[in-house]
Amino acid sequence: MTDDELVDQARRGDTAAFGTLVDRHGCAVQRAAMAVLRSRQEAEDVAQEAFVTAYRKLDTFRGESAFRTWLLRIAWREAQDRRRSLGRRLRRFVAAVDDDGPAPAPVLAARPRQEEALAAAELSAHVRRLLAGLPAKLREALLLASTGEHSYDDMAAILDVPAGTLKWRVSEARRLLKERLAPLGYRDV
Amino acid sequence: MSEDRPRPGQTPLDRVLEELTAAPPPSDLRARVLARIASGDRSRRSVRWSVALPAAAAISALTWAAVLLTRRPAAPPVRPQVELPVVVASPTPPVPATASRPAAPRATVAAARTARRASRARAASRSSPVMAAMRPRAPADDGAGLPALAPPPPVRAADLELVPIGEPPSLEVPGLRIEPLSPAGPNGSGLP
Repeated sequence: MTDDELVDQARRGDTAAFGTLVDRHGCAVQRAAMAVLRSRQEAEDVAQEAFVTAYRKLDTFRGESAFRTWLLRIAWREAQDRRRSLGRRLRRFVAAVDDDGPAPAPVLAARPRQEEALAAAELSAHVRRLLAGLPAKLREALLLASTGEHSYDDMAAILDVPAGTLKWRVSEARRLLKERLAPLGYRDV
Repeated sequence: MSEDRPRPGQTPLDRVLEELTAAPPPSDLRARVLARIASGDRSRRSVRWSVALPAAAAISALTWAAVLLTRRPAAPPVRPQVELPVVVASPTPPVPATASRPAAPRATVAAARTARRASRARAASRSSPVMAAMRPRAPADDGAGLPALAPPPPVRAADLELVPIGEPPSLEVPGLRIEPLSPAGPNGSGLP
């Protein structure tokens, strides 16, 4: 069943159909929220708010874009609002992410040797710290692109910017990160 | 979906970035969303507002109560104390000498104040010697402090006496001769 069909059923009051949409796009919504908030707990809260908001605004969805894009736009705005209200907490994002418990870390699971795992953890700590120093627009574009969930066109629609602008932001953020990682000994990252 | 898609995970940096936005573990997101929808609550923020608004109202009420309790009573308006004369022979009970004038409308008070000022100005002008000198005499005052004269009796025709006047006096002046002007002069104007 397509998203549009589920949306039609949900409009008629079928909450189970909407539950299917939640199952289908919950992960993407939470990852998008993570790109903004970098806190798993906050991302889950935002995802919940975004789905509830989407359900209440289903009548305003005209199908001009994919339901997923429309939903992610709502989630992005919710996450932006949350980030603004939690600016103080976001300035300590490293601690916030660490407090979320062990990440699923497919990267770590894929590394057989412990040295590589330690090096990856060290690099991860540096990247998290340096990300905090990036402008929010560059950081969010880079993290949203890093999810691998969305095409550039979808991301441009979510962020409401031209695709070229989005690509430049991603590239610029990556360049700045590499430039700042180089003095720390990471030249080929 | 477009093919123009980022390809994360190609470099160590990409892998770290992907890790930062890793897919969350399976959660009860669906159950929580559906519970929220079924309960019909506006939102978690709305729930917070539902707590915050009564609290704010209570705090506001307490603040106003504290302000009203600690505020000093308002002083009565200052009104001029007018001493009224005591009427002795009146059958009505005497009015207390320090009775306050009853409150009057503001416009009435202003008009009365203006009238009092004009009265004081007139009194001052009367007492001034300069103004007194410039003031016209009253008809009953002759200026010397004497009583006014009685008006003259009416004149009747029987009381009049006819007196002959005689010839008018001559207008001739010794040494001065007046000649009549000639209508025909050298220039026709009668002048020499």
